[in-house]
Amino acid sequence: MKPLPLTPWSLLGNAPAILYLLFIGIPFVALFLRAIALGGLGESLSDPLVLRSLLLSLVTSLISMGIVVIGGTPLAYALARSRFLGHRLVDALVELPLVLPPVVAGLAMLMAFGRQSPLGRAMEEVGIVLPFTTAAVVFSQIFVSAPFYIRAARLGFQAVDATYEDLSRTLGRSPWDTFRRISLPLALPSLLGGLALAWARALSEFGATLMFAGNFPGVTQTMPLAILSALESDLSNALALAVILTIVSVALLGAIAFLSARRERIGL
Amino acid sequence: MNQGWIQHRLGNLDLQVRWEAAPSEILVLFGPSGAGKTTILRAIAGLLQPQAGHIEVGGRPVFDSAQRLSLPPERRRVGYVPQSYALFPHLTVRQNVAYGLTGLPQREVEERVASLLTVFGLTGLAERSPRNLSGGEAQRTALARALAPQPQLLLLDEPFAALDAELRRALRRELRTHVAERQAPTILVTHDREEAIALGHSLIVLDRGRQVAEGPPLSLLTRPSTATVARLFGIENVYRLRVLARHPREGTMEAAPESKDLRLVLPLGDAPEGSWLTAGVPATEVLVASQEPQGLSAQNLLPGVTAVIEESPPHIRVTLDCGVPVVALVTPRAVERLGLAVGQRAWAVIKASSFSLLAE
Amino acid sequence: MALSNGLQSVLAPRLFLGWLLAWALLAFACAPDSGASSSQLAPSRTLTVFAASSLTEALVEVKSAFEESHPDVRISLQFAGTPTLRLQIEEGAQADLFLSADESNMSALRNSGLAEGTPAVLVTNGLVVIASKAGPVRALPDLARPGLRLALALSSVPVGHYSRTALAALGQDPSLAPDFERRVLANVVTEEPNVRQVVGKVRLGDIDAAFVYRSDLAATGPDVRAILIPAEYNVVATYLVAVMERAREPELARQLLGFLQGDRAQSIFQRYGFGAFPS
Repeated sequence: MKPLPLTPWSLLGNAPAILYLLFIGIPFVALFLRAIALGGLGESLSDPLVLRSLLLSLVTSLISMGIVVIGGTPLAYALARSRFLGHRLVDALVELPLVLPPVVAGLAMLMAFGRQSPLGRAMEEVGIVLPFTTAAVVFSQIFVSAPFYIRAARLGFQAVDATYEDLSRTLGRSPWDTFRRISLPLALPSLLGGLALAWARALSEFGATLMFAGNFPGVTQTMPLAILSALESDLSNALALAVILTIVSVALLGAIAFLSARRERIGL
Repeated sequence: MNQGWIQHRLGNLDLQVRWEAAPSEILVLFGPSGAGKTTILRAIAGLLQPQAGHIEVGGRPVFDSAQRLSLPPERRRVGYVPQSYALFPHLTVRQNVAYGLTGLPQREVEERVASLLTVFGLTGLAERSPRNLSGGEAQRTALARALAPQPQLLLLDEPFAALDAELRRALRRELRTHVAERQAPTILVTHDREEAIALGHSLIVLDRGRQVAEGPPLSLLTRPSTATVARLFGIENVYRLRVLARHPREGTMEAAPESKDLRLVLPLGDAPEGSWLTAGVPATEVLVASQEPQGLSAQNLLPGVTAVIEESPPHIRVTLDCGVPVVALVTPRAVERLGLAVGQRAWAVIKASSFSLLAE
Repeated sequence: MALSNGLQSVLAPRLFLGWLLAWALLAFACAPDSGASSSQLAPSRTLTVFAASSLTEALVEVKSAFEESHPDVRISLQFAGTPTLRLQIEEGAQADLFLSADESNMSALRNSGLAEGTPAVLVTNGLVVIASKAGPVRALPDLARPGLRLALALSSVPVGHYSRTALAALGQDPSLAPDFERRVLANVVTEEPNVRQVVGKVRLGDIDAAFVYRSDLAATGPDVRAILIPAEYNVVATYLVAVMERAREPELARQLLGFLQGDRAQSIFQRYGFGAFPS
């Protein structure tokens, strides 16, 4: 690509794009500058409250992603490859959380698993209590983040030519072997991309968690909730947490982008 | 024995076919696109469930609608090479070839792969990615991969369609050798008549799902067969000829039918002098003249007598007796202009390059 | 490429101008009323009031009472947790009047010169325990039963701070278990960002009980039972009000402040469970 000549018109033509980039970029710069100006970033990093919420966010989001991958991958594959009864309904249901405000998701889960529902009461009878537990954090994260992964995975599987799978079968490989050795590696870049999005979404999950899991340090207080809590008392802690959350998210996305780019380079 | 029949309705296609493929032979399914050829291969491979039928691979039933039997593809022991080859893009040539070798000790896998790579001339390409292969290399890799698990039946879907003409001829010869060596019967799908005749030990001609003819390719072509078969093949004139002289510098050779005082000039082939070959020419490539033409570039000028004139809309089909029958397709206007009539003298004009060498 | 560049250079400036125009119109539409056009319109002056969320219902009623007697004034109410409102004011939000649920947030604003004069006392409030009617909590001692699910507001918002103070005081009550405070805190499963969230969780039935303001009882229904805290252990939450230094309508704001302290407003506050300010 030749660089475009820098004429007044071309500058003006790109002005909306430049303004948009500034619009997105300036808040981040401001966040970092303010956090640095307030100081105490190092102190906040060693604050047990900050560390606990950071750890909780990482652990819960990792568990969520594990469940999303294990449960979402077969579903995405089924949606990509077969037409079954109620296909469209399942499709719509999978994407519903994307258009739903997270608070509604949290409220809905509370209605389903809370004490007022027969299901919640039955679960409590056998000793399973979800609301206001770490498990509820994981549930909330799965609820809001899974669609990002399932959508991407489904598109990824759809892009894999079914002939490869047919061929693998005629070469004596079982459906499971075929999935593991052909469909999965070929769709992997899409799966990783979807996983990165879902992970970022899970890390930033707030509304459903506050509703369904509540906000308690060390148990349900993830980074976004800790930011909200800190905002009520100490701006510098809130800013430090916001900076850390931004860095962690960007680092995760970067790592995944790097991994998938490396796969591309080694010939996938 | 590899045999079977299926009945399958799919959209407009109402497929009904019965086949039998003998060991170390190639059965060709020939027909235009949409005739149902690929559907048959997929049914045999187990990638599609026909509505009714019975399929045997290596003497073992793998599908029977009456007995509700249907083995999954991985248990049918067929090798399948689809038209696109479908080489796994994330595996190397070696890994592609080794893919079907399951349940064997590592050493044996390596040995078998190495020998296949050697046989198919792929040794130097073993670590390449399929996207860096030429058409011919990709085709050979796909074939090696399909043959690796020693299938009882090999299914080839238009295996040469993506290759240029010269490579096609070379690889055809290669394929015949492999099939003969391995004793694995092969079912090959093609819409290319040269390929059908060059490769097939026997031939099933399909048209819109129906079996319109079957038998050895040459007898199908040479016997006065149905108009459908002739139309499908597009070669109305097929001759058994003996090579009299080769002219490599001109790229031609001369050949004549047995006991006929007639010499035909053909494109140069591999057949040595004195050997027999089969050559054909489509009726549309034959010109008809009512007076002896002068100063022609075409090398075959055959005098004869008009034997038959029949309608073949939108054309008229004229058969001249030039010692051998020569069929030409001409327009009704041409018939009028030339004043063609049965019993009159006429000349057939054919360019040497219009002939195709069907079997040498 | 050449063609698309050409197109771009023809179209882009026009698109850009349109885009600028759209923003200009939007800015114009959002701009505060200018003097010239506003004199003909009925409510010409607007007061922005930032208030602690516990004041919600009462203040809405006070607002209509004030607007009734001042037809040319429109009051715009903003409710949130007191620290959030303070942060917004510190970050430049325009408010004429600030109603704080505690003293510390108000004095912080005063110290940074954002509040005008000495803040006045608005009302007082106390705490009450609310419990889900379907749940097991019927009296104060029940709060210490193991396995309950209790909610508090964040300790950084006033009601959260008061709740913990009252709980510590209750720990001294000889009629309650000796480790009452510890056992109650062990039952806390969530710290909500404001008192309305606490009330909501109890009403949904998934939280057994919680400490809230007495005035919040107005926002509950028959699904919730109120358990009183004896006066000697209860807190007196003092709500302060001050005109902001950056007020657009400081004179009007002072008028409203006076109205808030007057009989009419005070009787509304009392109806919602607030105590009168000590005179």
